[in-house]
Amino acid sequence: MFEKIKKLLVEQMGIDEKLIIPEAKLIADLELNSIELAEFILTCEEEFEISIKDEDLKKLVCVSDIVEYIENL
Amino acid sequence: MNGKLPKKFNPDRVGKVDDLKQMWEWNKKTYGPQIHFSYKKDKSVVDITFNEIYDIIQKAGTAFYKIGVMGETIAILTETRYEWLVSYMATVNGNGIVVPMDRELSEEQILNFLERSKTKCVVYSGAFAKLIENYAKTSDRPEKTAEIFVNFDLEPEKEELPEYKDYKIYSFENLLKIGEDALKDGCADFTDVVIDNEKPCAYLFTSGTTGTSKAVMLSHKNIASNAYNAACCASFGFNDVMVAVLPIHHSYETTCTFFASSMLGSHICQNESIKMVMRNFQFYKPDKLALVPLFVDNMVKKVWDEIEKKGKTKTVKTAIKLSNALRKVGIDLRKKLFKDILAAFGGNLNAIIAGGAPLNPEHIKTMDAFGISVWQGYGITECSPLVAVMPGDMHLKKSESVGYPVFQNEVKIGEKDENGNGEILVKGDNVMLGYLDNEEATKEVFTEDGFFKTGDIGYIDKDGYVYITGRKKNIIILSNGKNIYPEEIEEYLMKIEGLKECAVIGRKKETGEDNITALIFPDLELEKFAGKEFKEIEAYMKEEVNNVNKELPVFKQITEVEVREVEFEKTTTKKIMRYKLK
Repeated sequence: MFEKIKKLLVEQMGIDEKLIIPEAKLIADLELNSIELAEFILTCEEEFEISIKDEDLKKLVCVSDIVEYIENL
Repeated sequence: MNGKLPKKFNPDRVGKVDDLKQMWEWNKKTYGPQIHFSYKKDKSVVDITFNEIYDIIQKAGTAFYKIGVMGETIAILTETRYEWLVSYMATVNGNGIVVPMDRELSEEQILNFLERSKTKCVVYSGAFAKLIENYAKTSDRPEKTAEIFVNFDLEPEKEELPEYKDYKIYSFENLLKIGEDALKDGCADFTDVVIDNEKPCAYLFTSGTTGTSKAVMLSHKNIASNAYNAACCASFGFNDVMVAVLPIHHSYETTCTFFASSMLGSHICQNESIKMVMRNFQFYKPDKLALVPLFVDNMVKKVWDEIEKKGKTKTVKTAIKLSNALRKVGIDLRKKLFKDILAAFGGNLNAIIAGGAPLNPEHIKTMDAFGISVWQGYGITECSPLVAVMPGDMHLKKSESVGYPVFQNEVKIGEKDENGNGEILVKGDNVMLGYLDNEEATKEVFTEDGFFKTGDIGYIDKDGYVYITGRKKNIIILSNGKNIYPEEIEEYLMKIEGLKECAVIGRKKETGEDNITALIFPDLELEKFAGKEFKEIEAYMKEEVNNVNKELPVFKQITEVEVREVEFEKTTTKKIMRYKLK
């Protein structure tokens, strides 16, 4: 799952591949802003055919949080 | 006032109204059969006309009378939807007080605000049913005043109306039925209400900690005059399509997107989630938008990224030069030349009002080159909120200004420094009545001659345009328009075990945006840290800040952490000297 998320971050959000490690923080390290983060979550929803509630967005601080969230659905 | 009144400011654009009841009567009379609100439901779009909204307001208001909450304090907690507008109007047009709640608040803050405002009735959507209905049933909170609850998404057969309990939970569907039946029986207790436009009709909680947040009291006169002035001064057209993007509880979205634009016959489309913003631009094809600068930043970035991806940067830059030259001789080819670029926003977008935070003036020029005018606005909740707005033909000439003062509010600069900057002061029909139950704070924000002290520092040029150069208060303003009170985040940080002192500051990034930065001083004498290297303590603190971030809304998350080995410099009263922190 991590590799899939990484691929999306590189291809859809134009983030440097080297920066994407599980502990990388989406806002602080990868410099996504709140709108970009919301758009990325939409991309994940469509890619993995899942649904993430708006209220859960704040729990997704690191790349690994998204991986875990999706794996635990 | 300096300068000449801008040509684009026209007091006769819409009907002059003294209260929000008159505003909706004027809307109905002027735009009745037109569509006012659209939303998606089960893969189709539902359109509601001005007439229909007006009728639903009458039903809801009459039902409030029948269930005993007309004239009381009613809180609304929901995402953007037309029922919000209906509940708001049904409350205030029955001489009640509305409390629009921020849906991103913590649960405890929501309940605290319900109690501080002495709310009698809570109207909410299904997303908040668990929280509010648990609260309805609790007997552990002595300050609780709410007794009546209305759930937008509850099926009528699941209502809880026990005779023997001190709470009742209605479905919105049934509430409207109650109102409809009463109106058929000739009940006129809501429809005949005479509005007192000087009394409070809305409590708006400002950002801050549970303890420091203040409730701004606004009257019908404040809000109605501001909506009328915004409609006359902002250069939005008649019957524009708009997408409601910003949080609906915020006075900027309420007064500008909903109220002022309703007076211009606008068609408002629901944005159901922040995730859907760009999709909804393409779907609803808005003509105009009211946004915060962060959206404009993102739009500009998206446009250039897309152009670069297609390898057309050089071509587009040449096209901009050509287009700008042609415009000087009166030929405007922007719609044709940049059709593909504008398609990303639906294809019809021609203007944006941006307020709530500083906007990069370069973005105004870039968007204008593609055919989208960006007009800055300046407002503050205490002024209902609009204080100044850019006239439609001045955004390039005055790109660094936040606009010209709207009608019925006088703007001046307080005591000036050597550069001519001083505190921006406002007086007029839009200025609040005061802060709820807080005379001391109210007194502090008014000058002796009755001007409201905004806390913003700036100046007014010779033509009368307002400029903001700084802030007096300790607030971090983000480009999404959110005000961050450092004390609120510090309250969360103080819960970290082993943290002795902390301060939250805004640190400028290269992009000009503020990074929310936490400066932390650990209690190094603690047994917990005995024998540990500073690096280990630093790693522990950073991990703990990560956990704090998970409790905070995305926009409030701490993006930079600095762990210090020395304690903060303090004043004699042992307060951290914040101004020394960088």
